[in-house]
Amino acid sequence: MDDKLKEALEFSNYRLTLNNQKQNLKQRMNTMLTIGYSTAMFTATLELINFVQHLIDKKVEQFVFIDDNENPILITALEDFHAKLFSAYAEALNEYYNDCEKLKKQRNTKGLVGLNV
Amino acid sequence: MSKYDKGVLLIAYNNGKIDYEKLAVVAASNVKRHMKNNHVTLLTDVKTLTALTNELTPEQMSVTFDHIIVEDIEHERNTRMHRDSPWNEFSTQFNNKNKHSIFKKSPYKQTLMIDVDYIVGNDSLDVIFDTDYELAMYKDAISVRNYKPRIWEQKLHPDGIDMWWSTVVYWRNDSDVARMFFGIWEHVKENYNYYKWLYKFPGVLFRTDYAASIAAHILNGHAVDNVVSELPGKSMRFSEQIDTIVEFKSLNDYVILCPDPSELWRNICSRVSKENIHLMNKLAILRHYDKIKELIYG
Repeated sequence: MDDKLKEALEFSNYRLTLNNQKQNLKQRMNTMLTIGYSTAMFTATLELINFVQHLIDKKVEQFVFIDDNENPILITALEDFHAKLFSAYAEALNEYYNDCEKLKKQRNTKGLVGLNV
Repeated sequence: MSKYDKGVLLIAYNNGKIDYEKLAVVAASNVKRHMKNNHVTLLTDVKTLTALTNELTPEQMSVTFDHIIVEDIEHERNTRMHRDSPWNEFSTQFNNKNKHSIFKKSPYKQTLMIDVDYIVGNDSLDVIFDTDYELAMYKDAISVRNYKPRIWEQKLHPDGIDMWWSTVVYWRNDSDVARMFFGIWEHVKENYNYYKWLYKFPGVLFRTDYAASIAAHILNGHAVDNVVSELPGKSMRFSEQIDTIVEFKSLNDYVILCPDPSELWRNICSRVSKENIHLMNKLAILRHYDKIKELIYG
């Protein structure tokens, strides 16, 4: 095979694998964003975290939220709810960042998936 | 009467070609390793239990399974085609026709039933035990190649109802909704040809996914609603039957060779860590069984 083509195809395969690994890390991050709270499930999003912080700043004591399965849930401990959402979000993002940094350092396809063959 | 509050239920019936008892060992050990609600019950038959007792020492057995229910049952005929990589196909008896009976057989007040080819790699499913949801499954799925499932694993018909995966099912045993759900599941099984005609899905294999999806649709008032909740994470990760496991680096870290389903010669490797995955190529898991057993028991 022509060397230029061989090199380009190897790079193409590397990019495909890199993209797939990034998607895998995102899926893992999404899994980590789910928290259980007040007999319901919520996904820690920036919007929800900031909205809860806004309610706390406004001295609101309780509020109704829609959970991940479209159920209305009354939350009475907003600060605790915020802390759990924030913690899940920070933990998920930190792991995603660290794993992405490790991926960035891999310069070939085998390295991306940790194969030693 | 439930003996235990919360736990995980596994079902394993050997069929002569696939060693389900070994898959149950892998699934149970991953639950023990990665979940907090990790009381494990195995529902099995005499033949499979014999294979299991030959496979594990009494000590290994006691740390892997907390409770074993042995049934003396005659399995109904249900032949399924399996693939082991793109290049090998084989047919086996698929013993899934009594899966609806788990509602009555589970010893738990809150049960998480997982198929033995569903490998738990993190604690995300623990969240479901702290909710007041009565019944939960996965509707959406995404492969380890980050593809959506084939159309007949998204819907029962391209213009039809959504498919819910019966791979992982959570329910509360005091729930009337759950009781009715499993009752309809059984009814659909007994009238499968009628429902196949009604919902316009193909094939001769009895699919528990389809029976569960029809039960959910009927309980939702023949409409789209949330009588069945979605499990944590919302998407079930899966690896296709055409995929092959290259290496188990640890119990929840593996490299999978994934052909493109539409162009089988186009492979990529996908490394998946700390995820719960439905590994559909059961023989691919079993090829690594000795390594996995070493990782589990040392």
